[in-house]
Amino acid sequence: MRINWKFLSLLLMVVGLIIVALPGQILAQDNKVELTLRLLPGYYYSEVTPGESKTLYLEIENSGDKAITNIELFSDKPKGWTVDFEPEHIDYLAADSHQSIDVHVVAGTDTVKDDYTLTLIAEADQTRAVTSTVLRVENAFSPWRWIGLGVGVLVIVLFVVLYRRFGRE
Amino acid sequence: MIERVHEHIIGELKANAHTDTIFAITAIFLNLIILGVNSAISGSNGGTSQTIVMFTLVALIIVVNFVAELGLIRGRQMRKKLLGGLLKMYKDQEVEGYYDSSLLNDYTTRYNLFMLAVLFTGVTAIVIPFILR
Repeated sequence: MRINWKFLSLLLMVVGLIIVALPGQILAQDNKVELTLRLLPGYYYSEVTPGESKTLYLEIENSGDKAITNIELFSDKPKGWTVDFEPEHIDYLAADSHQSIDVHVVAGTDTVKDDYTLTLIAEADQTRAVTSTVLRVENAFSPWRWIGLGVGVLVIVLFVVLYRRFGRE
Repeated sequence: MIERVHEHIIGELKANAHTDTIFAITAIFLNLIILGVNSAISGSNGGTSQTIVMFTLVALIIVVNFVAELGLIRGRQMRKKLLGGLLKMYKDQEVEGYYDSSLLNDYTTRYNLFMLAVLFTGVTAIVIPFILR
């Protein structure tokens, strides 16, 4: 029987490649754990009023190939602020699935007008995900307004004094 | 000689008007520039250094407006004295009928309006950026 060495070597190479590459690919798929936190568009730069609740809509997605368990949600927030998640804890998030979360944010009543960064963190047994947003505090008490008005009044008073003192004919 | 004195008074009046115009225009122009700069500063989320710049410019407004107002008050007084001398001269020459003395009051009113314009552009330049902040 005549052996086709060319065909045999090609076949061996293909089989070898399959043996080498396939388990790696299977291994990589097995290890893919990916958790994504995403705020819905329009909530990345929103305005909040001190003392009033503002709800942000967050979506948590397991884009990996493995289920993620015990997801705990918490935040890194400015001092005096309250941030509540609804739900606060997710026991199980299957692969390729997502869940919506309401984030209730209340800025402290003594918060001054400025931009504040709010960091939202999801920590699970297998991984963690972080996202952040900038919240602009409006309608807050601003001492600058009164400082400006005070200086303005002072200048007018100074002018009246100047006029009366030097303006005599 | 009286003609030389007359020329001298007219020259003084011209110089006085020129100086007062410079005072008023410079103050109003500077107030408007600082209004723009400070509004831009207050619009950005400034830190301590920007607040210091803002207050320094406010101090500059106060000083420049003080100088301008004082200059305008003195200018008004000087003009009144010069015109008083001129009127006396016309009276001595018996031509006072050609110069209406009520013009003196008109000049006073005009100077007061200049001072008011300088004052209120200054106050606006101070207050508006703080309200925007």
